[in-house]
Amino acid sequence: MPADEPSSGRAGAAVGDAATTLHLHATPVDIRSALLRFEADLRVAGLNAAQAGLSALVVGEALNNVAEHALRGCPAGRIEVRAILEPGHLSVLVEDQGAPMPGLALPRGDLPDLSRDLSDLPEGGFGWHLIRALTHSLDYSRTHGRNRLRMRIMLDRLHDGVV
Amino acid sequence: MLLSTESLAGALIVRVDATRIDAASAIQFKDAMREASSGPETRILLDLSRVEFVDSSGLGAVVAAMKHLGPGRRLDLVALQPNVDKVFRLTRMDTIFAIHADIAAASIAHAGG
Repeated sequence: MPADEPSSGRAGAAVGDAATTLHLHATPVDIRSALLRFEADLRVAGLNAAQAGLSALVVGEALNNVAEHALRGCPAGRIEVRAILEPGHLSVLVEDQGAPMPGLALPRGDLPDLSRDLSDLPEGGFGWHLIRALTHSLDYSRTHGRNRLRMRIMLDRLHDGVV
Repeated sequence: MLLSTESLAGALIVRVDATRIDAASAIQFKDAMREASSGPETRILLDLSRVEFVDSSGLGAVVAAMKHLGPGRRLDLVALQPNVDKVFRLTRMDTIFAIHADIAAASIAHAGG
């Protein structure tokens, strides 16, 4: 398996500039490295700790989904992430050449039922809920064998220390 | 995943000595928690003060650790950093876990009932 570090583009400070570009393999360790780089680049681009950290969370959920589903069993599969700073949000495009999203539609991200007995609590199913809770819009398309997920991550409501 | 443990007035404090509980470390976290919580303590305080990032896999691992304790034992969360706290609130996990600002607050909450 190739062991090259996820690469990163130069950070930009102005709205409309490319905040960062990443290329990575679909493995948990590569995803972790990429997210650390992503968050650091966003901080350089001027985002605060909440904005950068929660943007990395959203992108991480999308990347984990690609690794666990679209590129399941294909750790050498490549994923590309491009982020552009726009007024009020961070526009992020995630692309891979893995399997299509089932039904060519994004999961609704409903929260699991938390009212049941504690021993029946689900241990998963939170990823799409987190993505939807922290984004203004999501757009998925499949063209020429590539999955494209565009996410507009809300920055205007993410302030340091506000939860 | 490195965890360190300490007993305090009948409770077990488990501190996560890592900055991330994510898809790359969720299984190790679950295994380490299982080992750390194998004693008789009925109350476990999970000190997350050093943890900067928890994703949905990490969240699931914390839920798994709580479920593994079984009935009659509880897992409380302590000292969540803001972005980690947000993950627990957005997923309504703050309705499942008691969340305390620090160990002292967790001790008072327990003494008070």
